[in-house]
Amino acid sequence: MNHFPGTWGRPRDDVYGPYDASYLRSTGPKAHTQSPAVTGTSVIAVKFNGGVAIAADNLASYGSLARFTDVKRLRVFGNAAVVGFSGDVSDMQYIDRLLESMDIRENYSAHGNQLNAKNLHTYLSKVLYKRRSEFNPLWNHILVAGFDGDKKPFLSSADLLGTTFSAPHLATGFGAHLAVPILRRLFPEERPIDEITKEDAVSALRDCLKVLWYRDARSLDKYSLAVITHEGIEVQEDQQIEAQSWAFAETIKGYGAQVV
Amino acid sequence: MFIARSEYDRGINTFSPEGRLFQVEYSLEAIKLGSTAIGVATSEGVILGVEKRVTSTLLEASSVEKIVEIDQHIGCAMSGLQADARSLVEHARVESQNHAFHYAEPLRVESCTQAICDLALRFGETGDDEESVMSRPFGVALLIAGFDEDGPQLYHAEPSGTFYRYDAKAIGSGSEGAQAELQNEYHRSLTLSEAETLVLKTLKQVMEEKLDAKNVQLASVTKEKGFRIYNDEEMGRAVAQLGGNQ
Amino acid sequence: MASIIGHNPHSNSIGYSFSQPTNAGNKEHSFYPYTDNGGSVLGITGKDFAVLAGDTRSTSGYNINSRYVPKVFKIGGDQETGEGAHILLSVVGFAADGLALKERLDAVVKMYKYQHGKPMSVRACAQRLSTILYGKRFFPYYVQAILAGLDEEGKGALYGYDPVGSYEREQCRAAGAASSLIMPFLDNQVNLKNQYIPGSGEGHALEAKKPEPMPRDTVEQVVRDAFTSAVERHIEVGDGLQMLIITADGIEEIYHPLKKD
Repeated sequence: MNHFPGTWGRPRDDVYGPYDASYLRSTGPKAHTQSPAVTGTSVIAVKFNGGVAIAADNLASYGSLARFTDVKRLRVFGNAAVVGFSGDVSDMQYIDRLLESMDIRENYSAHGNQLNAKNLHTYLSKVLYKRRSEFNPLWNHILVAGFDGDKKPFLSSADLLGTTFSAPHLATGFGAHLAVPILRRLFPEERPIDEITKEDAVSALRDCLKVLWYRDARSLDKYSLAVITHEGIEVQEDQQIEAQSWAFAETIKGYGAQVV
Repeated sequence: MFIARSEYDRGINTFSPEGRLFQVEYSLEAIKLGSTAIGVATSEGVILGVEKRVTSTLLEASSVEKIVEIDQHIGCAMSGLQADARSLVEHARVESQNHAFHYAEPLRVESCTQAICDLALRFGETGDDEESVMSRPFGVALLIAGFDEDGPQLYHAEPSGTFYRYDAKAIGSGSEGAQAELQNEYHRSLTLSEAETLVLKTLKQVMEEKLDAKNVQLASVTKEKGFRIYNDEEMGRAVAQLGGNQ
Repeated sequence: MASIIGHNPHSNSIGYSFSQPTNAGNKEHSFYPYTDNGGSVLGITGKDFAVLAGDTRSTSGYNINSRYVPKVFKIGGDQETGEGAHILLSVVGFAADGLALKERLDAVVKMYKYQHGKPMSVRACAQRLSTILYGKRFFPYYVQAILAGLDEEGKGALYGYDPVGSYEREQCRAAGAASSLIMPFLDNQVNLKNQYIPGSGEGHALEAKKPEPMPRDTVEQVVRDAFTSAVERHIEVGDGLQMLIITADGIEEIYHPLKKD
């Protein structure tokens, strides 16, 4: 028994070798994030008549490792907006703290007019652009869903470079390749948003998530889904992808130790 | 013991109970000790004139500089502490060059005056993160003459940071008498050479010394030539013309 | 006592179950602060008007981010509607920088009016934009900008920029992804390059046609033709054409659909 509590419970040097503290580098130049560590994959969202639906799975990956399987990547801001995060999870948690403190500040202030989703998107895009300009990016691609100042459904995106764009349906990461074409086919852009019902939108998102679960190796079958309408925000964080069929997998040939 | 008023004239940013800033008011007094300076604006241009107070025959009159150029189209005459005027003029020059650099156009006369007045109230106790330029108000007033897209203009800027546009204005020790004279003599149809004469005539009335080509200085701002300080030859001509008129 | 585990547990980064050839020491991941969002813009001036137009597609690589992201902005007007503006700015390249540049110039133009009591001339704005761009010489706004408006005489004025602030007043200018397709077309159709008067001579004696300011409807048609052609040959151009026309009466906006393929 040694008498230094700081060393209690540590792996023994004589068994495991000395602790390598090199990754805790405290000297030398200050290092900024050069690549993300624990990441979330796609976020997808679509506007409908009277609101916006947004979804993301509950997985946080560490490289190819499915590290955390119960991570909520949809964050609700007040009763005005939902922010969906893909990319680095620690940066997401940092931004969430920013939003949390802003929400509290706004609620204490007397002026009363709540920030809407459009305000929030402008704010977040400036935070992201400022950090990229300092070469210290917040490694996220986010979607902001809610309403604008005219109470019209609002959906817009911002990424780690501060690039912003808006469209009736959006997806980040793999979803940009797999989900957007499905959404564009279901809800062509020339078709007015008024013709899309909430049920259509939600079922389209569920279908897209299923395709992503089939094809995105960094995805999960547990997901969260939020629906923002004038009545309020409805978040379901324990959804499960259902009615899958892996029959197609049988037909895939050309990988692994296949003989015939 | 203090007399009631002087309790409030130490802290330069402290109002007196009557709502006055004594140090700023005292700075206006400093100008009344200065040499007289006069500006007259006409439709053709602006004339500035100052008395030089050549106090000794050994003094080189050309070293007394009370009219200076700010930019090609703006100049100013000063009365009060000349050294203070140098920092104001320096600021105005930088501001004018910056404007030309950024916008490829000359700075407006009013904007130039505003830039000078912005500096006027940057005095007092320094905060932790701000730098104060001066520890006391400036002790100088300026007559700023210039020409821009709105034509010839004359401005008067004070240490209090306020400025007004004038057709004709006198500052300095002889300002009261001179201003009354200008009030009587000014009219809108003055020509530039009539304005020259008016300035000299007014200076002559309020100066203690006898006016000659060495102890006064004139300058003009016109559309064609911009700001120009009169040389010895032009001064001689202007003073001679004054003699002829009277 | 010697260590039982031979290798250092922290020396390997996370990896795949199969071995990867890692003869390179540490993988150098460096953050690149720019991207190209594609698209093209085009400006043409006339006697008493200027036209600035751009497609509305936004891209990232082979992805289409959105089919409607405007690249042409009104400067110095109302935040939402642009009302009261008298200058146009188009930015193409890295969209985030473009937006930041637009917002900065907009603030400068508004401050100028408060400080100097008059609206900023296009000439002054052109010089200011140059100094803004040059001020970030060592971390540039990655954009090609075009500024348009009416000059002091009421004539159409157009200024073209490179990312670090070099600029020049021109009759017409194309910028962005399809600029190499559009600019030669403009040289020929607007500045009448390589056009000669038939029968005016033989060989070098042929007399060149002299360019003259075009009427507004011709200009609009040339802009539409330029973009429909660019859409055919460039994958980053398409979806919609946004055209802003500035005259003494104000700014008019026209939207034209383009092919979405």
